[in-house]
Amino acid sequence: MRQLRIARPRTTFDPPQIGWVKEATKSEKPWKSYNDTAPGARAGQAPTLMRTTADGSKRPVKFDGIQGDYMIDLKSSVVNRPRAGAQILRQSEVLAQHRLIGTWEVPTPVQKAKALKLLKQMSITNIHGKVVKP
Amino acid sequence: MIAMQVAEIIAQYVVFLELTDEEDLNLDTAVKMMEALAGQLQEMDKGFLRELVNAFPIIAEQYSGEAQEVVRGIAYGYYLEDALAADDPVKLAALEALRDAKG
Repeated sequence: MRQLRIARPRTTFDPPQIGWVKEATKSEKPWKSYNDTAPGARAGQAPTLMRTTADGSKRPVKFDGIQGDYMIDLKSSVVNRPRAGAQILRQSEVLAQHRLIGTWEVPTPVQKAKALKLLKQMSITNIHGKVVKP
Repeated sequence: MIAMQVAEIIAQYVVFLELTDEEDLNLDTAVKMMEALAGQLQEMDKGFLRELVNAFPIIAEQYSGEAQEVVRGIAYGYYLEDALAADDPVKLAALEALRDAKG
């Protein structure tokens, strides 16, 4: 009983606030249909998480799907450019803010190796890589 | 000649995707299009892709500053040399080592 009295209620977290935005990119190409096949995806819409920036302003970060605590970004291929690197930091930050994990779904093991190398170089631990055949 | 013209078009779009201000172009959408472009370039006929890769440094001379660096970096950043070396483990290992060195 004594134990019970001093037991504190477990901290509970609100469910993640997922927003949806109209997807502006339209294409009949395979990469587009690949992007729309993420679990929890809605055709023509992209799920977003609101990122609180250092100055307190809020900016949405787009993903492709949701599966439980995992936000999915379908990458038809990986690129190693400054804007792609900035996206990795944005995704990692917003995932941490919402206590979620990210999954990059890529079409081949070669792309997965590139993805994991990029994430490792940037010391990102809350985004994983997974091969999902188109 | 055709490769040069196609490379010029690709360079224009890459500069647009990589340097357009966030107010005018959603950054996540830009990255999504860069990834789609990378995938399509990597799947091109290897002979033509080699011509494109060779053309980018020449085309880069038409640009200046940040845009010039963007065009110069296309083959590296979009893994085009890696796609060309897909069947050559020795070349792939050399490219990997280069990437490791760049960090």
